[in-house]
Amino acid sequence: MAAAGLRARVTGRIGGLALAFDLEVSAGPLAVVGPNGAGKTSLLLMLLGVLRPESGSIELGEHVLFDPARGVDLPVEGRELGYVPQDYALFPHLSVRQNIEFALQCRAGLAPDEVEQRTGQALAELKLTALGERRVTALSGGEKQRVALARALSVRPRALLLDEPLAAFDIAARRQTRAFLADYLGKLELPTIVVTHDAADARALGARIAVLEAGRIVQAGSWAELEARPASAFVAEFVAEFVQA
Amino acid sequence: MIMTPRLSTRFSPLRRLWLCAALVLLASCQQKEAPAPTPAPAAAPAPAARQTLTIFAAASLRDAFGSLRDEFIKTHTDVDIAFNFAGSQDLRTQIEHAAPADVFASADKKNMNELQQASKVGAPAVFARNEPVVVVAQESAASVASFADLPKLKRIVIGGPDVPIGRYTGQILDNASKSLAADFRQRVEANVVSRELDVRQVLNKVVLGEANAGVVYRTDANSAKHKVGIVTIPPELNVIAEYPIAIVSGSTHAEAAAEWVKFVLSLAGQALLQQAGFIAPAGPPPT
Amino acid sequence: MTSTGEQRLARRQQLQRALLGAVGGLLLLFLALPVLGLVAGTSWADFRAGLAHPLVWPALRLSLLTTLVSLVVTVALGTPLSWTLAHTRGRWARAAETLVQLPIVIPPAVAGIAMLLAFGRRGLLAGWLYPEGWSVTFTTSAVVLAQIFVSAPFFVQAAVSAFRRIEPNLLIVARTFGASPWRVFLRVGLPLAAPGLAAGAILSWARALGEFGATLMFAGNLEGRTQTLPLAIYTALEADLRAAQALSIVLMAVAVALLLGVRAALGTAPSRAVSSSRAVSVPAGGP
Repeated sequence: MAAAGLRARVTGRIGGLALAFDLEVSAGPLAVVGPNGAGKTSLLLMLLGVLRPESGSIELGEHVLFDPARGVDLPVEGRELGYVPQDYALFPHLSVRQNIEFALQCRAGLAPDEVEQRTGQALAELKLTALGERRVTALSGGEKQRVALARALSVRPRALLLDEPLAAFDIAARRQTRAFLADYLGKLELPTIVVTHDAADARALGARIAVLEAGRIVQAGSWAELEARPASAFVAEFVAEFVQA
Repeated sequence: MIMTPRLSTRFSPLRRLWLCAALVLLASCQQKEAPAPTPAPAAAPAPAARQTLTIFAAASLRDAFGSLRDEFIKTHTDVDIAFNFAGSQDLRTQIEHAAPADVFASADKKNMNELQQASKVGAPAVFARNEPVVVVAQESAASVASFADLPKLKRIVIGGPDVPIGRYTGQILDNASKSLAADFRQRVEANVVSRELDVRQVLNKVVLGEANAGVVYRTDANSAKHKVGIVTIPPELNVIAEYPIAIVSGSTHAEAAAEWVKFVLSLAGQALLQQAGFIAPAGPPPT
Repeated sequence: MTSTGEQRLARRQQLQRALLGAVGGLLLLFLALPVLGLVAGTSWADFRAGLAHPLVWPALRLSLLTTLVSLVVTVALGTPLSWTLAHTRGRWARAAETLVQLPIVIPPAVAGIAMLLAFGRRGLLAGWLYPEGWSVTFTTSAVVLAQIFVSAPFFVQAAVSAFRRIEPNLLIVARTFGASPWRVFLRVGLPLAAPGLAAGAILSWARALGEFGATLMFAGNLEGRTQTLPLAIYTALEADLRAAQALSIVLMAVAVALLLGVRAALGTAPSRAVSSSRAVSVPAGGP
């Protein structure tokens, strides 16, 4: 059964920027794109619960994460969202295995052998078993990304949020990792949002694309729709970018 | 990288910086050697005949010398006076290390004699005497009728062994052990909680109520008359402190220094000192 | 680019480096000279005599004991405080931070008086905290309290700084896993801030070791009970400068030995990366 969808309709004000989103993610990942300062990262932080919107609601299937009208505002710890930030946020003082164990240990009620078992599973799934004892500071970019994914997914989140997953890669590695990520995310069956500024990333990773400009979604749809009928100058330029890449 | 021809001219930024640094260094080398730092606020040396007299004096002379200064400057309008009040032993150390004092007034002869032997001061003259007394905190005043009750008090503060008042206290306690009770000194010392580094600190602790009793000079006790109880020490046990004053060798204000010493020894000066509670330098101790 | 251009560039860089080195070296020299003066000005015989001084060992023991206790209390209470301050926004948190820094700017003697007014016999808390007539002044605990007052701010400042340097994303992802605030603090915050915390602890301990003014005022000066090594040095100064010099060298030697020992134990690791790479700056937001 496919995972329940993520629905967010919020307004807020961050710094001087007024934000208003209405987005939905169910089948296939949603790529959120837009110029710098458009509010892409703020959107993720609002979903996570780090930033509080002024009004609206965030729902994940039948779980309500945020809805002031109903008095619901789950803290970050309770939303069960997976987050892979741009720098991966791996704990530098822990090994690869310990990073994943940490996530599992945070879940109440998991016995130590279950923690061990699920850690092994997570490592195997992303082909990290050989790197288990390695210090995270000694990993390549691609390896770090896989550890971050393994860690985030080991606790079986209800949705997955990725911030600029390919920003740290050079051109060659980027193409390779993009293909891997597109394949992996496609198979996940988890509501997934990928924030990116890169057209090729958006096209490969997002089943649908939402374009954010100055805090608002100016267009949302498939790549083909954006290409055919760009709703703004930025969208048109953005789509054109891909041809050049 | 564009290399501008400016780098080869004489006034490139870096060379300007070097020139400034060199000038600053030269200027500072030519300045006269700065005087050794002293804790007292020194008035800036003024133009023409105005001079600043630097007087190092025992802490117990603070109030008395203050009144003396007020009188002195009325008749000596071209002199500013800067005081450095501290424990006599500290002042002695500073003078030994060429602190720029013009006059030294000590709370005991020991420190003065040591300086005289080292030729750091001229011939001293005793200008006042001071009587040690016991001061008692208000809370404890009721339980102390006489000096003999001192060992009863639980928190006693006295001067350190090398502070004049501390030395006198030791001698007084020894006298008491001989006359009153053989273990008098022992019992008192069992209740000593601190040996302060100047007499004013002893007084402060009693005034604040932190200590029940302390041994200070009568002049100090007088300055806190309404805040503490005063218990006289029996004259047969007491040791009267003698305060000598002398001009510091090498003083650059020898004349003004001599004027000050003369004033201190004069009838007017002596009257002010006795007002503060000091005893005249000669004559029998008080009964 | 011509080779003379390259040469000029190289020379300019050399000169700039030399200038930076010279300026920095000036300060280094200034700091080193008094230490050298102290060591050079104390003969080996004086040093041995100083070591045999009756004040040394009780004072050294007391200093080590009290600073150890002060350090433990400072770190135990200061770490949670610093964590909270590092993660709390708003004017109360900023006011608290300023309050914590105040003891740094208050002269130690004034700090001592302030502590008397708060914790002394007639102080703010006297009625509630103490049985009749008793107070913490003049006890060894008072020494610890004075040390904590003057040294804790250094630890808290360093700790807040160290906690703030942790990449926020590390804390956010920990929370997304469901980590409780306690777990985030203990398993993520502490390990990552540990080098900064250690540096702060060393700084704080050093300040406590050298503490003099507040101790003298609040705890008094009694051998074996409140006379720490700095107080012993100052007391020795009353009697004999050379003994004070020798004791000062002892204090410096102990401090250097402990500093080096601690650094060796912790490993002279440069501040470890607190994240695997630079993060995108997270926009500050929220009330």
